Amino acid sequence: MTHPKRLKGNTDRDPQLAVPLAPESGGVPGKDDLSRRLSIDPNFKALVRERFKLRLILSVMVILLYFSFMLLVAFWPASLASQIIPGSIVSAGIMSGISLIVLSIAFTAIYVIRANTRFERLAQQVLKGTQRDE
Amino acid sequence: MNDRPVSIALFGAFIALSLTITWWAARRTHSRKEFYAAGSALGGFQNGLAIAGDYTSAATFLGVTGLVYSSGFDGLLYAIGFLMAWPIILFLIAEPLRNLGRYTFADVTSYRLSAVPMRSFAAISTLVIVTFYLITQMVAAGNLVQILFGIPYSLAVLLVGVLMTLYVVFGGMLATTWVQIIKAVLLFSGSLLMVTLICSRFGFDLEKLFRTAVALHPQHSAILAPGGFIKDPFSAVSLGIALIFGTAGLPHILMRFFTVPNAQQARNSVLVATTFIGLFYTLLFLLGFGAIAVLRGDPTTREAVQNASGNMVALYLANALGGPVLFGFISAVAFSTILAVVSGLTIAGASAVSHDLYASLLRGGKAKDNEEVVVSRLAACAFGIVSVAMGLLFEHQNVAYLVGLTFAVSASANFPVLLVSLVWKNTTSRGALLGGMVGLATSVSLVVLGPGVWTSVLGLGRAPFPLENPAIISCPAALLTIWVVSSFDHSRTAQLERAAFNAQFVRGELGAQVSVEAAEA
Repeated sequence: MTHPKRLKGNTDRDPQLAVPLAPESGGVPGKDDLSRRLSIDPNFKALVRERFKLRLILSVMVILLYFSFMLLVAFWPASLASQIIPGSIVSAGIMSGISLIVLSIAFTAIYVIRANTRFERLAQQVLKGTQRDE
Repeated sequence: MNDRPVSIALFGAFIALSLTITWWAARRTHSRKEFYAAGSALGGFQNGLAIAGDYTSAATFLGVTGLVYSSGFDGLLYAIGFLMAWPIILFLIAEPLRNLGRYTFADVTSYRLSAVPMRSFAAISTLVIVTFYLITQMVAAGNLVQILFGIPYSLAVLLVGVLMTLYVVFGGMLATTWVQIIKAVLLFSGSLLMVTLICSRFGFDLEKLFRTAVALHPQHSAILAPGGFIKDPFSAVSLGIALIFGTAGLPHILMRFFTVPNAQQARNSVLVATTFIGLFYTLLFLLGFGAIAVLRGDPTTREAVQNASGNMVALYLANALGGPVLFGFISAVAFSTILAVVSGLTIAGASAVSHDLYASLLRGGKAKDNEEVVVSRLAACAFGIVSVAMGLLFEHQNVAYLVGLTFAVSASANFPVLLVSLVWKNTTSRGALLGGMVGLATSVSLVVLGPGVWTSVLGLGRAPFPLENPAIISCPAALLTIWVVSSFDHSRTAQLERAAFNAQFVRGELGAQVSVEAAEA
């Protein structure tokens, strides 16, 4: 396992750390400019739009699938008892349950792969853009 | 059935290994970044395994197997709920959480909202969740260790308390992580081994396995369909809300997003964790059916299991498949499972005290690094003592309701506040605080007024609140409160908080590099 060199002294100089924006810290420290620049950056707009769309679609699908399954269990359990594959004793319920498990993993994988390729590329372009403006 | 020497030897081996790791980790844990977040240097795969280890408790392993053994299909319902929470976490909060916070989720909620309300609220809800969850784990640990290793209950609870305190106080998040990784590897490989042994008994023919199970179980083919576990749509939806959204508010789970360096590794962690957890639940399901086919076929084992608690099914199965050696191995695995979860809970609780209460509120963010670590270590000791005391106090209590309660509180207090502060511009501290408190109070009181406590524990007859799980009421109540209070908040603070949303959003989407570039502008 890789381990970073231990930082001596105050680890707060780590650039990863967030600068709090809460009112008692004095509010937004001049970031309005950056937000404005980014809001007209086509790469940033594309990133936000595409990412939001994918997140929304996948979340809605997960929630719909889960709650319809649960409501099916509550309202119409007999449907899950039926044997849908001829010759197999495995019920529709078990098939659905296992399918939901597989789908959950699949949806997660879809998002991660998309995010690690397209979204990461867009994000890098946005960041390069902010550097160029300086 | 028990071959005590084997069990105790493996049990001892695990303890020795975990303490060696703690000593190794202690030499690398000095700063608070190392203590809280293992230096934020974990890879996605490691972190994903640790998350899986943190999340799958002994209750799941033993409980779900036992539930499938007695009711078949119903065991799958818990598994699905626990698993489908993970894609939701990924899509809704994982990346902004990593980008906006450092060590605890309160870092994120207090990014633009005021620290005093957000930190104190986070501390209160974290302490509530961690304490209740710890009680269930300590009681389960005491009972399990007593049955498996013949050690008296009080000594068992003391042992678990001492070990978890040692891991956290000396090894911090690094030791905790490795204990969880080892547990995950042991648990998954142990389960995989048992499933393989079961399948080989049936010639790797799953059809034959299921047919045998159906033939042997008293309810026959009814076990392939839902039983009476979910009685009505309200219970179904309520349980669903608690499981799906509650996971996204559990403090020890959220802490695991800060142990990786960036959002990409956070995403990868979730994929790895989801895959392992999904495979694990599938294995559990097969284990349960395998247990029916194997244990119910033999009159001796059938008798023995009937007289024991449902939690023992997995262990009887291990004995039937691989004799005393496998029994000893699975016992040690079950024990490691408990230690992994309680360590994660302890460090989450300790960090709420030292980072949120002490360093951020009391010392206004000016606490020195090693000062904060000392407070954290002391808090971990306190948790150790309190957990042991609670474990001893609740020995003969029925604590099943506490698990549902922790998820309900998490779904009604932490999750709404976290989500809304991230996605809705008009959220204000006042709204978030009141909403969170409403969620917390509603979920706790409705659980007390519900059948789980009112009837089963207090014995007061018919419960005023009909549902076991209050999430269907408490979660929307919290969200509604946040919305209403924030919308009517026209204070100066509120205006500043709304103004800060865009900057928070940018940072949440792009991560740390944005600040660096902007700072250089």
